[in-house]
Amino acid sequence: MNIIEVENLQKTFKTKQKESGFKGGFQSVLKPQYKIIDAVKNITFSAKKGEIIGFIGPNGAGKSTTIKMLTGILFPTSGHIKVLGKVPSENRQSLAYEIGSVFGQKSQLWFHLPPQDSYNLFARIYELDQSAYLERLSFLIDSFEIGDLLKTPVRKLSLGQRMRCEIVASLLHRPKIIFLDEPTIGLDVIAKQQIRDVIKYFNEKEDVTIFLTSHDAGDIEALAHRTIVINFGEIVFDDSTDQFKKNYIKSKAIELFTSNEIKNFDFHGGKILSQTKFSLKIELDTAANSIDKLLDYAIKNYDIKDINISDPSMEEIITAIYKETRHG
Amino acid sequence: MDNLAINERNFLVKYYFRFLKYFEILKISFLTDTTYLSSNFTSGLVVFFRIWIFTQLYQITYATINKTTVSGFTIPMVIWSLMIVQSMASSTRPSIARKIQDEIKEGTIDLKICRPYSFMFFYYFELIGRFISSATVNLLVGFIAVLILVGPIKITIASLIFGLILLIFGIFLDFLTQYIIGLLSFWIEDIQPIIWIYGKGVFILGGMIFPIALFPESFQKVAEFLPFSQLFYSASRTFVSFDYNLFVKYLLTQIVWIIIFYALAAFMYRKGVRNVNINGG
Repeated sequence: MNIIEVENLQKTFKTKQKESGFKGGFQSVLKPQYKIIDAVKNITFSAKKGEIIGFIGPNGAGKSTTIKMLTGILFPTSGHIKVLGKVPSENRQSLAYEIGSVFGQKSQLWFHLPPQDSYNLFARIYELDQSAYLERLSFLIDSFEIGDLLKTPVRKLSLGQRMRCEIVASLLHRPKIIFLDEPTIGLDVIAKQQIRDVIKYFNEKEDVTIFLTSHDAGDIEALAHRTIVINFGEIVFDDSTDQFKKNYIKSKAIELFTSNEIKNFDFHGGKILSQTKFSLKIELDTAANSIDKLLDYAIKNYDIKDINISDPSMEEIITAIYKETRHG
Repeated sequence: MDNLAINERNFLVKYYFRFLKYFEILKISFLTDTTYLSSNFTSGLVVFFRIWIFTQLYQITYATINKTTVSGFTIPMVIWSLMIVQSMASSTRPSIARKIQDEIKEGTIDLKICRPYSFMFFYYFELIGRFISSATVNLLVGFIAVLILVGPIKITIASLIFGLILLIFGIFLDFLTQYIIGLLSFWIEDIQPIIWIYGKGVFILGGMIFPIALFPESFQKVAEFLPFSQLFYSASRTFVSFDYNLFVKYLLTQIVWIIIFYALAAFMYRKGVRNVNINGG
């Protein structure tokens, strides 16, 4: 059964344009000019209960606009949305009891107070029974390992710690769907992994449907059952994440930093992207060669100081999708 | 909590949970405000300083016209009235209008409109939380200031009770006006000039520098009908000099303005929320 249904959804913004300088300011008052931006263009998709949907795309692709229409914050210009059988823009308040949301770039916690105070507030806002709330909170505190953060004012938490606390806030009322808008933005590798682990844990344990936007393909690779790629407001890919990985995350960029000079680098299966005296960037086809093999070779032959492994950027993935669409 | 369970609650339990919801908003806002107690005391000192200036001004004015009362107001009554209005008006700042404008501009408003509470009452109870903390400090400092500068005046139990009723309505009226100005941010880019005009209206016609009772009679009638005088002046007038007929007149005026502004606010929110334009983030 589909718990999210989106059909021919469109969102258009009208943005005021202003020339620079005094004259421009004057003109914008007398004769305002507007630019029409098609943020989301005619998209259709659905999600089943318990699915993790990765909704990815570069900046300005329409990810956040879509998530805001799904949560009832924005009104669609045209098209239909049903979330848990309700039209979000018409049933925003009643839907709010059944969904949770985290906006990575905005905090729902009260900045100057410890997270515990915000949790108490959310328990009241979602009209939870006190005993059920306390039991739930204690479970979430253990699962997210935030016991020692509860009494620290939010402004003093690191970004990773804050994000864990934000997700706890969104899970307090046992939502059936959680909308996570860029939950890993700005986080370091370890914090990202922690967030991914808890998202996965709650999806498996409580069968929560997760709608995750990100511009990091790594989030999707680690979490999503299904991947939807959006670009310029249009869906350019909608299939299983396995298919997505097979088609578009075929390679990893591996950067090696050495303390001795890199000479006669002779590893087959990788394409050297750039090289300096003490560093080397190589693109590795992970279907043909494993990272282990490359690292084995590097460690045996060079004195490795640092290693960087990265996925293809979202722009590279989008380019590959377009290339395939044209050729396919 | 399952939504079904919420729907199954009986009428009284439902309202009890709603009351707890807004009470918790008030509580968290109060807690946040008390983390800045030193800034509340600074605002209290500003009230003290203003009262001192007004005391000097009114003492000279009364001496110049060689009178001890004007329109039934002695100098201590004027200063007490000004102190109450100044303390109350300072306690509702920073302005809710500016807060709403910032949230609409920065896009953080989406965190408010996707929650199961009334947008208007969220801001109202948030204001009350701040108000309790700031008003306590401002009134304490103001009370000490007037006692030192002009001495006590006679305040009866009736004037306290009826003044308090007008104060409760006045705070809500002030909130509604600021809320409406804030909602204008859905349509216009900068509401700062409107906040400024409102502030000056309260300053001149809201009894912040002259009690309305000191105005010429015709001007007094107009000023008493306008919402500015019904925010805090009507309460302060009742505290310092209780008149039952005046109380009824003030209360009715407040109720009329509250009904008009409440309807306008609800209409503007319904229209404005369709206008939310949050790109990205």
